[in-house]
Amino acid sequence: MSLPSDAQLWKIFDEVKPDLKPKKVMEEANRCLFCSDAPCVKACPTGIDIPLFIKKITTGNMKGSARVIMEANPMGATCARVCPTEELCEGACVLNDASLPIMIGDLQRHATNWAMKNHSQLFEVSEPNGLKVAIIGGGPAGLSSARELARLGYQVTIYEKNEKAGGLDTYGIVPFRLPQDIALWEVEQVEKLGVTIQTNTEVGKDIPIDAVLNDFDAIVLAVGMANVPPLTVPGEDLDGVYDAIQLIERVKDGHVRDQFIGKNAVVIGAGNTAIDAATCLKRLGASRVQIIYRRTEEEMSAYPFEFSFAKQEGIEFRWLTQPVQMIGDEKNQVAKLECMHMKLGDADASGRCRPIEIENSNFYMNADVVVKAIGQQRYSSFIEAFDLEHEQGVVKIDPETMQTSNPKVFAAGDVIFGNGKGEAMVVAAAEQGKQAAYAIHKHLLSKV
Amino acid sequence: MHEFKLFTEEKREIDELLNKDCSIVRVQENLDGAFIQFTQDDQTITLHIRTPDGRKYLTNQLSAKRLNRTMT
Amino acid sequence: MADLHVDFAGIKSKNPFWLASGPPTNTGYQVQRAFEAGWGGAVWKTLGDPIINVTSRFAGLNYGGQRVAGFNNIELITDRPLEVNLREIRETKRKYPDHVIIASLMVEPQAEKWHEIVKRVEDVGVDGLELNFGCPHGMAERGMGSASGQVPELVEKQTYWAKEAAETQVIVKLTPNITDITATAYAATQGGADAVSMINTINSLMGVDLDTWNTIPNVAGKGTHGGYCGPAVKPIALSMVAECAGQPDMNLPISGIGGIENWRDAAEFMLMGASSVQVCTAAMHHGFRIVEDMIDGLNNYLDEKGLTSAMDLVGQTVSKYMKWGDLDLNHKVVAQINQEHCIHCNKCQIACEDTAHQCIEFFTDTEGQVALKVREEDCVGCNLCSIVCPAEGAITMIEQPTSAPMTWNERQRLLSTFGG
Ligand SMILES: Cc1cc2nc3c(=O)[nH]c(=O)nc-3n(C[C@H](O)[C@H](O)[C@H](O)COP(=O)(O)OP(=O)(O)OC[C@H]3O[C@@H](n4cnc5c(N)ncnc54)[C@H](O)[C@@H]3O)c2cc1C
Ligand SMILES: Cc1cc2nc3c(=O)[nH]c(=O)nc-3n(C[C@H](O)[C@H](O)[C@H](O)COP(=O)(O)O)c2cc1C
Ligand code: SF4
Repeated sequence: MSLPSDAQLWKIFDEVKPDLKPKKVMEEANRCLFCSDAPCVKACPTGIDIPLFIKKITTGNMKGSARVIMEANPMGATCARVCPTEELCEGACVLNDASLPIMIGDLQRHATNWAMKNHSQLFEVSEPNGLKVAIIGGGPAGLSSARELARLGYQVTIYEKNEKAGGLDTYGIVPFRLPQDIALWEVEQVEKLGVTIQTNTEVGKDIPIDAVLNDFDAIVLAVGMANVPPLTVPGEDLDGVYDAIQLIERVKDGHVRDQFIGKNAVVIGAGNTAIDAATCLKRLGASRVQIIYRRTEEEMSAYPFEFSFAKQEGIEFRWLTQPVQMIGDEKNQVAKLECMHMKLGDADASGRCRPIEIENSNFYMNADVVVKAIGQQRYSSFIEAFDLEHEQGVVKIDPETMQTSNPKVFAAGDVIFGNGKGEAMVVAAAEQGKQAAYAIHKHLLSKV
Repeated sequence: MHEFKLFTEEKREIDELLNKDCSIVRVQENLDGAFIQFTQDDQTITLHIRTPDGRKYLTNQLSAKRLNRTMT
Repeated sequence: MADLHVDFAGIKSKNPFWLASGPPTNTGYQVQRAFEAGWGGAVWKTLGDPIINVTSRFAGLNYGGQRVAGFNNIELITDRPLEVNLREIRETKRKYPDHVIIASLMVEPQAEKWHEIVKRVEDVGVDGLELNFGCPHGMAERGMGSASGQVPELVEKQTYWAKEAAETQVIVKLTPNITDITATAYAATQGGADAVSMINTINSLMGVDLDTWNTIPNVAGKGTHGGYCGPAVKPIALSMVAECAGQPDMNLPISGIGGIENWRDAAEFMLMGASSVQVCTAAMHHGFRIVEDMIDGLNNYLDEKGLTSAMDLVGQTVSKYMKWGDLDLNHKVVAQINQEHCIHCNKCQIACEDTAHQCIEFFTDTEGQVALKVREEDCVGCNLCSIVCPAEGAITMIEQPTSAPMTWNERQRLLSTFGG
């Protein structure tokens, strides 16, 4: 494999799932029963009126259809692609038993594609109400908050430390599941409502926390989670050892070209970050990609559809395997991974079986690329600096009011996502963002 | 089948007569189609036009001729 | 955002979407729910001497996996006392003064009966009256509904009686169970009607159960003919609206009814001359909530077309609807198969071969693939192939250059000068 051209790079990262063909769209949309009090709506964390948006597809009211989706979910185009629909709307479809569930995600994608193609302005702002809100973090949670607040007449500023907004939608979810332009279109939709997005601005570094606290009527903390935590095994700093999130970020921004061609890679972890990193490496030309996980298929947090996708892509899984150390060659480049076999013990606090090392089971795996994907760290010191109550970096909020221990500061998204609760989701972050906006509106209104 | 061939034949016949400066003096339509009477000098020739396209062609020619005449 | 307001015979409605007289408008509770959902108006379930209904009453026509392509019923007019209906109409109108309430009426063909009901109904504050001359079953056996709606003199006379007493607008609802609907529409005009609405239901028998040999629906094993409506009747209703809208000596506003399910159907009726539309079956199939997309969809459509008012649609297509004899005989289209979209089901080929003009042929393309093409010179441009084609874009009807237009009527005039 030679150096891929831009066009080729684009090709390997084409969306894995093609758009539905127009004929399929109509067949599928007309198959929807237009249920009343529909279970799919209840299963959608953002409560999209699914039968209604599908009905609008059947009548050719595409703008209306896109609006129904985006109204409830400012990340509707992203979610159409990355939501675990089997677990959510499609899992709830009444046709699951009678026939086959409606392909809700794909129809949602069709409708939002229309909006993207037609540059449709879907929402308007109301009269400015004179109040200012700062949002820290321009990911799904922050953007959703901003969208709703702007529509309610607030003057909104998003501070985003990265070069582009969109959070993990822009940088974290692999391009063949979510092309960057989808996430950026959603950013643009928010910007068009007059929201100021100040990128390359890290709160706490480029702008002091106090300034934000003092200059605004309310603050939404939507910083998400940080990079992959260290494994704390020897050899972690060898060349060829990567943090999955940083790796995908570089890939999504088009910086990774040929350095993985023909490589023998091992990915550590079995959540959606691990799957994304592994399938990404495969597409970038790695000859062998293995995922090692210290528990079993039962306990992994990746969804069944992700697991089967990874297997289709030729990813090998090694269960009950724990890395002990990484061993480098003379050039300080990783060459081998020493691992141990594990067995399962009793259930721990998260309800999953605790993995126990089997003594003297050590073995070696050859690897010239090792990717750590064992979850995400928290911005604990930042949260401390903000002086907010938290539990191991998970910011505490009152679920009713979305307020943190500082009543002026609201929080949404991964920053409040509890440990051991399965996988974090864009759709949940989007909903919390909306709720934080409504909570702020209620809170500030009650003061005037 | 291949009615187009039949029509082309009919069209050829009509054109031929019109090109010879025959004039249409009478058109009669009945269950069997259209019967066109052409005259030239003292001769009368009757064409039997069967296809719908032929009958359409005929009237288009008639109409064109009429237009020509009113224009000149 | 376009303005969806319509002016129907002087009745102002916030949008053109009304519920037709029927089960959805049986009670105040329902009509109020409908107004909450967004319907601009409602024609109350027909009032008259309260009847007794049978059970069961309805049947649906399912076609190719889609439910309710057509719908049929043997239900009569209201079975509730007039006084109860009037109380609810009054209350509903008080709560929803900006919504249109039309009272549908049906009584025996006697002047006093019409005078009495018109007065009592107008007393509670309706925006207009709709005379139901359409119900094809049950009531017709009693000399009302379509029995009187099929006789132009009775339509005229009863309209006249209603008008004698009426202060609000009188809409005459026509039955489609008649050969020429313009005859009764004209009679309504003569009787002084302010508007007409159409269609009521069409005579029908939904089916026969092959196990029991009972009719569908059946009442204790027996059946009777019913009234047919729903999506399947839309083309019939649309043509009747078009016939009436195109009558030069009849200028009454038309409320279009029959098979309207969404904003597209509604827009078609409006283009064909209706200034309000009424819906019954679609609401029964999906609930009042369908009006949300009707409003939203029509709005977006008007925006797209650069129109500012729904009224701008009304009647735009009427002048394009004419007698067959005024169509251009020289206009020619031929079918063209677009190979990149063809999925090779061969449905067009067999349709043309067996039932049209035998001009779709197999051929072997340069890659050795067997494909289909149209022998254009033999294609009469009937559309059949494109109608049966299941693949979007695979068959297009292409316009051909032709001679100057000539209609049948022009042709006959021309031929007559040749002794034809
Ligand atoms: C590899 C991977 C795959 C995933 N796949 C899926 C999937 O398929 N489906 C799904 O539903 N979810 C998936 N997720 C989860 C999903 O991406 C997150 O739940 C979601 O993005 C959370 O949104 P958020 O706005 O809370 O945080 P983020 O998306 O993390 O956004 C937070 C933003 O805040 C910014 N920020 C942080 N600190 C500061 C600061 N101090 N000042 C200014 N800005 C700051 C960050 O740069 C970032 O842009 C995946 C996550 C990962 C990592
Ligand atoms: C069950 C049922 C009852 C009906 N009852 C009445 C009625 O009482 N009065 C009336 O004028 N029309 C009645 N109709 C006819 C409808 O108002 C309407 O004209 C017809 O159904 C066509 O419209 P649709 O295709 O939208 O249903 C009834 C229709 C149905 C289905
Ligand atoms: S819809 Fe069903 S439940 Fe309701 S009245 Fe009719 S038969 Fe009874």
